[in-house]
Amino acid sequence: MNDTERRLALAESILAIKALSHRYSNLCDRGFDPDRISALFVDDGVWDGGEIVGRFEGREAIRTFLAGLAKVVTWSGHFVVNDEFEVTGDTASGLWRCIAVVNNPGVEPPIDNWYFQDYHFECVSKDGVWKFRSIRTDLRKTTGYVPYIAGHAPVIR
Amino acid sequence: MDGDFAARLRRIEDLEAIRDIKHRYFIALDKADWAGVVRCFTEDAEIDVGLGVQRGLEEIANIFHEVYVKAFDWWSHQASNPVIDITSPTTATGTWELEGFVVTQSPATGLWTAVFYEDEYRCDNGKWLISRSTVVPIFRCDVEVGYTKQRMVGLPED
Repeated sequence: MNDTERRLALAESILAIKALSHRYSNLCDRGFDPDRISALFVDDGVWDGGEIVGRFEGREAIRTFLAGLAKVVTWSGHFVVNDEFEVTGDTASGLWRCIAVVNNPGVEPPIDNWYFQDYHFECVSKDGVWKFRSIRTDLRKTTGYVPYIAGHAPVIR
Repeated sequence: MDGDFAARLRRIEDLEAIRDIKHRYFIALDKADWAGVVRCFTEDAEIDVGLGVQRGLEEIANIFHEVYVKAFDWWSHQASNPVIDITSPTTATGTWELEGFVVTQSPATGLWTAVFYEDEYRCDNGKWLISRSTVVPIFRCDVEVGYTKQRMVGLPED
């Protein structure tokens, strides 16, 4: 592969990885589609939500977790911004910031929540298709999440 | 440059051109630049932003102008999460997710909204344009009430 071919392959990888995070986020907002989201991971992929949400290893465990989440979260909006990542051949790692609005499923009556959350990820390309090896997002270490109606000042960590 | 290399480069150029035209569309909307909005569409474009289907550039220009002038003081469109698939050398599909803020005229109310855009694009004479665009709402609420209590508030003309 000459220098021009490497640059072309890198540009293709960057666009494919951006699309992967966008596809993941859009599917979250279509009822956490368990089959289609879990298919974005490699077979032994990991979704790690930290102590609050839990760690799920393997595509089937991720699918089961998402199916449960879909039953309790009425709906959500995940907006991807500020992604930064490094591509090294057929692997890549980095993060994207997500501004999310989500029904809080753990409170009765439900309340609005506004999340400002970092998603750290690793992904790998096999046969030209990029998939997640892992996604890690820890609510305790994120910028913050707040009950929407209370405003931004009382940030809960 | 061999054929495969040229096709791969063309695909990248196409993806970026489609993203660019959609960004120009949102910026034109927020500037109330109706001529700029119209320049983002094919002549036979069809859109459905929740106010019925508009066909052709004249109807598209009219619907935005009428709704904005009659009902809104300002609006702001923040688009993210584009997933674009090139389906042929001259056609493509795309999904975007958008968070928007609107201030209505009477009563003066701040609305917060989120929607999906389901789009189709066509390359006419070397330029990618929006040929079809359908808005799928997620929520629209009074900012002082929130989206759980008020999932889908009506617009002034509803």
